[in-house]
Amino acid sequence: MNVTAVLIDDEFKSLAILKNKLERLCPNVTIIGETQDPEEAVKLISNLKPQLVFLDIAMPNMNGFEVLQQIPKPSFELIFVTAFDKYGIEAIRHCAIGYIVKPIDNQDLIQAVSIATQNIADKTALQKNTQLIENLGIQSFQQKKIVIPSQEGLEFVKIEDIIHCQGTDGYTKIHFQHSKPIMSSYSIGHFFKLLQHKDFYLIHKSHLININYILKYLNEGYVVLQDNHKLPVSRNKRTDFLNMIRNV
Amino acid sequence: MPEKDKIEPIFSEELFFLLSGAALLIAVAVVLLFYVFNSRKNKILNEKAMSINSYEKKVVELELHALRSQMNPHFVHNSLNAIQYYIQMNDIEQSENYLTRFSKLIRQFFEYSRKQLITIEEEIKLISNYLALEKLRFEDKLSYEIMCDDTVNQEAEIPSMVLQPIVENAVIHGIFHKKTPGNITIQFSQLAADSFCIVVKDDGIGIKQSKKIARKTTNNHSSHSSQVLDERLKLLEQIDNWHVEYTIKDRSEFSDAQGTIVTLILKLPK
Repeated sequence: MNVTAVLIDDEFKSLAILKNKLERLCPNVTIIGETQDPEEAVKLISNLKPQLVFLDIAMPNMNGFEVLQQIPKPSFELIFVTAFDKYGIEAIRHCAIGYIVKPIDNQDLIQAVSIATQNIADKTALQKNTQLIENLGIQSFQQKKIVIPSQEGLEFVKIEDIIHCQGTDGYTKIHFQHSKPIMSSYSIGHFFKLLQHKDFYLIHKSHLININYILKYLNEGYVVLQDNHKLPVSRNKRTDFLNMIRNV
Repeated sequence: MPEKDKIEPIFSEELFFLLSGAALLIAVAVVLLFYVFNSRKNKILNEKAMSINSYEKKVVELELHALRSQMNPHFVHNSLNAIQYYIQMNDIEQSENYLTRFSKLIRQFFEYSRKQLITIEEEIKLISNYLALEKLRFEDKLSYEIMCDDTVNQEAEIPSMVLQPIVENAVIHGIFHKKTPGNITIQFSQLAADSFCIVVKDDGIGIKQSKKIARKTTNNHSSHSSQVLDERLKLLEQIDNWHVEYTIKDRSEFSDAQGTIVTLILKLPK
């Protein structure tokens, strides 16, 4: 599928690298605009209405997220491009939005573009981008929402409502406080990375729990959660786990 | 010889008991004293060992901090990104130039982070190498000058890894957000036999404006370089008795100029 794209990066060099790589590696992408000026980027995207936007995060005066915020209806697929931004990348991942790091790896770029191309048909970009903007305004980790692709489409779930994630054969079953569990085709490792916060603890290679839902700890090495699930704590994690619980 | 049998014992029984009682008392007192003395000695030795341990721990921490402070991931990745550009452009000379400069700087970072002190000469080399690399990235957007008064003893040692984060702040907070080209000057001067002054001046957007930008961006956390600089200065005060005076001012507050000025006064330990 052919995709129209706009590239935004304050650095001339980065823009040139990306353009060159796209032309060589992603023939389905047609570059219809590019700019080094974040303020101009807002106008450019609004006027050209591209299907895909490559957006740098760290830019002078106005960063990539602010550019996104200024666009009235951001319904394009996004691929963030960043040299290093721990907090930014975390926010992007929470919303299942694409990103690549500089220096750009060819394989990463090809993969990000192919995922974005597939997503265009689903028309979920506006929802994800809106969620990202909303999350950026929320300080508390538990109050943010994460986007989980499931069989039915995208699920937007509040982190606070997740009781635990259970890994099974490469899939993950996520249990919630008020709603039915959902199945994700991502592995437990994906959720472990997504929920890297002191409130989430991987008690076992297939159990990631929200420690706010611990009801009790049984001496034989189990935790009981508020939904009455009794889950094992790996032997080698028990001491660390108990220390952590005591410190809370 | 009955007389002999009658010889009075030299010590009466009473005296004997008295004396042996006294001896016992003295023995007990000696043992007690010895015990008290020994436990005191152990306590003092322990304290000494503890303070040595915590001192060593702090030194290790300091090294780690220094290393971390230099390896700003932003800087590393941006440099590599620029090298990728020259490779893509098939500009062999510039790619190699950039790569070897980068490698030289990393080498210096590793070397100096293990040392507590470096000579002013080494510091100047490090800073000029760092700025040369930033210049390769920012090109015409950045110019700089490093000045050292003739009176400065360049062999003298100063704490390592204090100046670089300050200069980095000037680049990424001052110059980066400025629309027109920016300039950074670094001036070394000798105040007395045992004290130095380093002034880092830029004509960027100024600390007030850059703080505003930092607040509205999502990563509300204080910048990498500012954070490590704070930690580094704190630890230095604790360990080496180095007296470090650090002042930062927005130039617009006292002149028509814009930008930030940082003054660092380093006093050698006695």
